[in-house]
Amino acid sequence: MTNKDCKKVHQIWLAEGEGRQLTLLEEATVENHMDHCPSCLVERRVVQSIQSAHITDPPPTLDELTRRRQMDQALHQVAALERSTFSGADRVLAPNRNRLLIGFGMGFAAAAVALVLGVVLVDSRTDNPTSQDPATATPLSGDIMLATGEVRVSGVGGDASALGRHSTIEIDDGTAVAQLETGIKLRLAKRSNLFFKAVNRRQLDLNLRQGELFVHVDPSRDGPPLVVSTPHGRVRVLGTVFSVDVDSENTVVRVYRSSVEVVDALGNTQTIRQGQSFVVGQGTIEQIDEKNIAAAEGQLRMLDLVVAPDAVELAVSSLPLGATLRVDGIELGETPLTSMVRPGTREVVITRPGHESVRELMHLVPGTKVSRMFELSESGLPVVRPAPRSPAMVDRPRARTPEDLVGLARSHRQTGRWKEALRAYQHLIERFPNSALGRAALVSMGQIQLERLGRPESALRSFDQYLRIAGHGTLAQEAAFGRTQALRALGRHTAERSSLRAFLRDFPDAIQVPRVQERLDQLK
Amino acid sequence: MPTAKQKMYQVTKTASPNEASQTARIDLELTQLAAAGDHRARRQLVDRLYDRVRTTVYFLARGHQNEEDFVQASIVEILLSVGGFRAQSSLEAWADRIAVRTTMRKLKSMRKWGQVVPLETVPLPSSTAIAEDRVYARQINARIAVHLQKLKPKHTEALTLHLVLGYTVPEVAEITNTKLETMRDRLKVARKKFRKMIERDSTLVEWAGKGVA
Repeated sequence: MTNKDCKKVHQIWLAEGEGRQLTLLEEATVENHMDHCPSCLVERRVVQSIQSAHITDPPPTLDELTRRRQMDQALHQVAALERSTFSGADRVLAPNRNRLLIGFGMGFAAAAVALVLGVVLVDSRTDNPTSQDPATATPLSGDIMLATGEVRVSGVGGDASALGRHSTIEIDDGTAVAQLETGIKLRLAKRSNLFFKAVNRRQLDLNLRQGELFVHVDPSRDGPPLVVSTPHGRVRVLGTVFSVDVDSENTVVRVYRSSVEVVDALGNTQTIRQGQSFVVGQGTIEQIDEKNIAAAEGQLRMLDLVVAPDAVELAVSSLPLGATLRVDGIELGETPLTSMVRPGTREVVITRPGHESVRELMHLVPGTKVSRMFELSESGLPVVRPAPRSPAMVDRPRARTPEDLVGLARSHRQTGRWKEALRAYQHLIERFPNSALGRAALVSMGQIQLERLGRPESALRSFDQYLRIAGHGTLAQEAAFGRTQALRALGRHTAERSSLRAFLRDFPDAIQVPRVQERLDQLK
Repeated sequence: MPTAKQKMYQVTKTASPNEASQTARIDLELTQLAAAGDHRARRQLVDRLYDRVRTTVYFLARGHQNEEDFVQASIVEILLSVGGFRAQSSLEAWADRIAVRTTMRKLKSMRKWGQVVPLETVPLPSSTAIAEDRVYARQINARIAVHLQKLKPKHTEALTLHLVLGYTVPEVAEITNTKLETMRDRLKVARKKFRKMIERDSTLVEWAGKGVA
């Protein structure tokens, strides 16, 4: 087979690529050539594979909640970037702003390069401390977003909630959540001590003297690389979600997303990747267990709730003190507690063993502060203890709390074990029917039944049950939308039409509105 | 014969001139509102483009540990650049281009840090018995994607838009704001280089041979 024939076939392919219909002669030429030219044959097969990639290997379908959460994250990132990029009059005029945005968009690559260069600068400065003075760099700021228990903050300029260079957060028994201007969220657990060594546009160096630090770094942030130093080494952040746990003997690094680079006291460098944990100095890498992954998921949800644009200050106290506060099923800590919370309608639940739980739906409006004191009456019942496990439960996973079961279900979902995930949700609903997570599980269960297991009737029952018991709960929108999908799958068009109309009426701002409208038009 | 992906985008491509100008006008208004910071417009824009961006990123960076972050970064980039949309192509095509460029840029910067999964670590099963297996298809496509990423960015961009996203050559030229002749030449060169890479990959050659057999 000659090179000339190959060229001819490529010309025909190019013509086809321009949208032209091939003639019979051209098709025959190609097929004839394929019989004799293995190279073109391989090329054609590869191209066909690329073109059908979405059929043979489509991206895994995202459930509606995850999709919405990820969309929210992107929107918040943009808002945060704009806040840090524009100030004062720059925000006023849209045309100017457009130009700035374009400029910023074009400069994004430069920012990425700058980020890489930033890493190099940090290293060189570490080796040669006199090369640049961090104090002269533009300072960055941070804020305490949540504090519960015994938390001491030496802030900036007399403001205990403002963080900056040489700030310290010390926690004896409690939790603190902080955010830094460059898209970094931090959660500090009890018995922790974090020193802000350098916080500026060139260097971001935190010193974790003891305790546990959980960090979420925005991958699109515009700022210097984060370095967390401990008595046993340094962790340089290349990725997004990780934790550092320091005690008197060891530093344990766990990476939940992306990767980090660890440099021990001897200068040995090790890259720790997603799903791995590493004990600094010992040199062993292990896989993170499910319990820690589930805990990390919980912490991420908490950070997402607490560190949000336009977050509302929520101060909650109780009589007696020490009650557990949950917002939308996410545990924030024990009362008294002050936290920033994402605006919107939130379900706040206060629980304390031996006392009646209190639940309140709060509508948190940006720019306001909400303060509550709950007086908890004694339930007159003994402290609730976990129900004895039935024989059927003996071999179940060691999940004792709703959070455990949700974590278990989620891990099954992530690995595509839908039936196991369904069982975990069912178990959660059976054991904790009145908990927020138990109710939310109905919606998750419905989505799995509908989208993964092809059981629209069961899905419809799950969604209906949620809407019946939770009414206008936080997942009412998802449940109502799931209901329309289930009815569609069942071919019940009249009921589907009614549910679509009800959805538009009840949730006019929902992201599913265009799809619902489109479906209604089809049904007409 | 249009590919399934081409069919997917049929709405944009077969619209009448009136409908097309109407769509362009609406898209322009939407993007202007989004650029001015209108939250609902931004949300609507993201909702419309999210799945598409995800599919694009998935092909270019499937299995990569930062795949989710690339989707996020692409969406952020789209929102930050939305003021630059001039309705010269469809909104989706404009977004495709940004998603491809952002992902390529991220991959390239990570390659400098040695974070990209090397080709050798994608094991391929040797038995044809599991050729139908989705896992196998995923591995093959991952391998192909790695080859695509090795090309020059402009070549990767052109081939991705043309082969992966199913745009015709004139459409790719329009999306990338390139002359048609230049794009023709670019695609020729890109495909030639791509072919050479494939020929050197014995696993792909073996797979293609089995598939044909």
